[in-house]
Amino acid sequence: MVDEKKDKEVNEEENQTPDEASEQLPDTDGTVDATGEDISGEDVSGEDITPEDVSGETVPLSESEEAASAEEEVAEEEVAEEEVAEEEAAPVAAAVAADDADNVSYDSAGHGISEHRVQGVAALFDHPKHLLAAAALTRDSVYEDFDAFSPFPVHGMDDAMGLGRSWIPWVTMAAALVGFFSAVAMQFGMMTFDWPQIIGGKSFAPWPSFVPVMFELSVLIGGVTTVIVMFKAAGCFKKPVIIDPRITDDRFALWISADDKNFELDEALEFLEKMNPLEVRKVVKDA
Amino acid sequence: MNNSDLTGFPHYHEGDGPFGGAKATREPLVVGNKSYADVTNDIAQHLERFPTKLWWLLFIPSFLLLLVFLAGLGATTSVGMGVVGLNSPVGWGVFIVTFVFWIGIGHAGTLISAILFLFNQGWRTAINRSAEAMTIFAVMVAGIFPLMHTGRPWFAYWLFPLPNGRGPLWVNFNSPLLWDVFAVSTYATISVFFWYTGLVPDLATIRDRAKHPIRKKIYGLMSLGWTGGNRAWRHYEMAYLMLAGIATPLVLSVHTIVSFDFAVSVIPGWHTTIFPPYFVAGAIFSGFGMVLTLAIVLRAVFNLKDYITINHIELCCKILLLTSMVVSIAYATEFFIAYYSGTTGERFHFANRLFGPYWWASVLMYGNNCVLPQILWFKKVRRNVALIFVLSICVNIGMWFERYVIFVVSLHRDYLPSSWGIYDFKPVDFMLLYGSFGMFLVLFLLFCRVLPTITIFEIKHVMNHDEAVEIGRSQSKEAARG
Repeated sequence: MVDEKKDKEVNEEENQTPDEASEQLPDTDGTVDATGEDISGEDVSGEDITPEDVSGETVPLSESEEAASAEEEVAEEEVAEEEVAEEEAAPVAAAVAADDADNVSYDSAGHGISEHRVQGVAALFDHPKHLLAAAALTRDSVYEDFDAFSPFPVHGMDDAMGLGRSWIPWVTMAAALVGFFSAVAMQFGMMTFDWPQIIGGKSFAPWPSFVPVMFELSVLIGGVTTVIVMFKAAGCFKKPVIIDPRITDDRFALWISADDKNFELDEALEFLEKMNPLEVRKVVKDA
Repeated sequence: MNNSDLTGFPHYHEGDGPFGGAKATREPLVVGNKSYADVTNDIAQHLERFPTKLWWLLFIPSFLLLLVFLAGLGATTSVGMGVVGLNSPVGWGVFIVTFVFWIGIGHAGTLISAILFLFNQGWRTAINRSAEAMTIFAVMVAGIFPLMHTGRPWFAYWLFPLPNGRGPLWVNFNSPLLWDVFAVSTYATISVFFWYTGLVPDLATIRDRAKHPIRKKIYGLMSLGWTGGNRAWRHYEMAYLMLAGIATPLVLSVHTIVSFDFAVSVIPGWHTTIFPPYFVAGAIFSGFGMVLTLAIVLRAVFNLKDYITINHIELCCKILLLTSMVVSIAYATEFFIAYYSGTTGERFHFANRLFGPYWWASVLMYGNNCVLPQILWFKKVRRNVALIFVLSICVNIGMWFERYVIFVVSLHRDYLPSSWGIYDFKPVDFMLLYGSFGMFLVLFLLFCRVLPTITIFEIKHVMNHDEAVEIGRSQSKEAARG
C-alpha cells in the first residue's frame, strides 16, 4: 500500500545531501526565517543532528504554526503563501526529508506506477501544531478532499480545516425522541388500551409512573444510535487506509486524497513539501 | 518532572494571573518525562507480553472465588431459594444487598467518565478506562442477583414486556421493580457503548503495533477501521460529549430508581423521600472506594505510577471525603426526621438500628462511612498510598453494610412484633457474596490483559505537547546513534 521502501531510500539520500532546495514555512509576520541557512553548510548527516540544529529547525516552524492556527484572517494567510512562493531558494533544514517528485512515480522495483492507483499523498509531522498549520494552509488552497490524521484530537483542528460543528447532536436528539415516543406508545398501549387494569388504586393512564421508562428508553436509543451513526460518519466499518502505523502513536499526517477534483500528483507533492514536513509520502493501492 | 517531585500544590510564578492574584500553574498530569511514544509503549506493552507472576498470583485466587460463586449460583438454582438464609420477614437478603452494592460500585465509573468529563477535569484520563471497566463488570455481577432473587431465573425474560399467550398479560409499569429492569439494562448497555467508544482509538493503536497477523486481524476488527483523521475525530468528540451528557442523568436515574424500590414501600426505615439523593451519593462514595482500590493495585502491578500519580490518588481521596460527608448528612437527616416525624414505627426502627440485635452492622456502617474517612482531611494521609488502600477497602465494607443495615434491619422488625425475625447468613449466602468478588476480579484481570488499562489517546491529549515532542525527538536521535 505504501511505498515505504522507496521513501526510506529517498530519505536517506536526502538526509545526506541537506543542501537540497526546499521552502520553509513563513514566520508570523509573513517572512521566512532563514535560520536553516546557518546549519545547511555544516556536515550534518541524516540522523546525527545536534540539539542546536533541531532548535534551528523547529523555531521558525512552530512560530509559523501559531500564526496559522491562531489567526483567522484570510488576508494574512494569503500574504504568507505568496511569500512562500517567492522564497524558492530557501535552503532545507537538515533533518527534514523532502521527497523528490520525479522519483515517486516509480515503485520500489523501479516500475512506473500509474496515477489512478494513487490514493493520495501525505505529509508527516511530529508536532500537533505543525499539523494545525498544515491543515490551515490546505484549507486555503485548492484542495477540498483532505484530512488531518493525529493520534489524539487536536484542539482547534476543526477551525484549521474549515470544518463546521458536527451534526451528531441532531442524531442524538432524533433518536432520543424516537425512544421517548416508543416508550409513551408502549406504556399507554399496554396499560391503558390493550388490557386496562387497576393496580394499586391508580388510574388506567397513570402517566407519572411511566416517566422513568420514558427517560430510560430515550437514553438507550439515543445513546446507542449516536455511537453507531458516529462511527459510520467517521468512516469506520470498512478496511482502513493506514498511511503510517505511527499515526496512532506519535505521528501527525496531512492527507490529500487523489479523489480531490484538483488533485495532480506532482503538484500535490510539491504543495506538501512546502510545509516542511518530516516526510512526504505517496499512498498507492495494492503496492 | 518525576513522581517524587509532585507536591500536590500549584506552582507559583512571577507576575499576575489572568484574573488577578498570583500566577500559578498546576502540576503536570503525566510525569516521568514521557514522549507520545513512551505513553503508547508503557500502556500497551502489558497486553503484548505473557502475564507476569504477580498477575497469576491475583488471577488464581480470583478464579477459585469465581468457582465458589458458580457453585453458589448452582445451589440456589437447582435446590431453590431455601439454601440461603432468606425467610419471612427478611425476604430481601443477600441478593438485594449485594445487587445494590455492585450497582453502586458501578456509579463511580460513570461519574469519572461522564460527569468529570463535563466538568473538564483532565485528571480523569488516567483512571477513566479502568473505572469504566469496573462499572461494566460491576453491573454484570449486579445483574445476576435480582435474576437469582426471582427464584426461577430461567423465566427472567418475563421481566420484559414481551407478547405472550396470556392475554397478552403485560408487565406492570406502575412498579419501581420494573423501572429497575429498564434502568439497569439501559445503564449496562450505555456503559458498554460509552466504554467501547473510548476504546476504539486505542484499539487502533494496538492494531498498528501488532506484529502477529492474527493479533492484527483481531484488533483490526475490534477497532472498526479507525484511522484517526480529523473528519472522524470531529464527530467522535461530539458523540462523546453527547454520551457524557446523557450518561450523567442516566447514572443519577439508575440509583434513584433503585432507591424507589424501597422508598415507595411503607416499611419504617425505607419510607423516606431522602432515598434518591442518599443512594446516589452512597453509590458514588462506594464506587470511589473501589476505584481507589483498583487504581492503587493497577499502578503498582503494571508500573503505571507515572500516569496514575500520587496527585490522582489525592484527588480521588478528596471526592471520597466529600461524598462521605454527603452520606453522613443523609444518615443524620434520617435520624432527625425519624425523631421529628413523631411516628412510633420510625422512632423504634432507628433506635433498633443502633441498639437492636444488628448494632454491630450499624457500627461497621457508620464507622467506616462517616468516621474513618475523616482522616482524609490531612494531606499527609491523602498522599499515603498504603493507608489509602486500607481505607478504600474499609469504605467498601462500610458501604456493603450500609445496604445490609437499610434492607435487613428494616425488614427484620416492622410494625408487628409478632412477625419479627432474624436473618442469618447461611454458607450459600457467604458463597454468593464472596464469590461475586471472584467474578468481578476475574473479569477485571482479563480486561487488564487484553485491553489498554489507561486511555492512551486522552493521556496524550492532556500532556504538554511541546515537551512531549521534544523528548520524542531526542529519543529518536538517541536510537539512531545506537
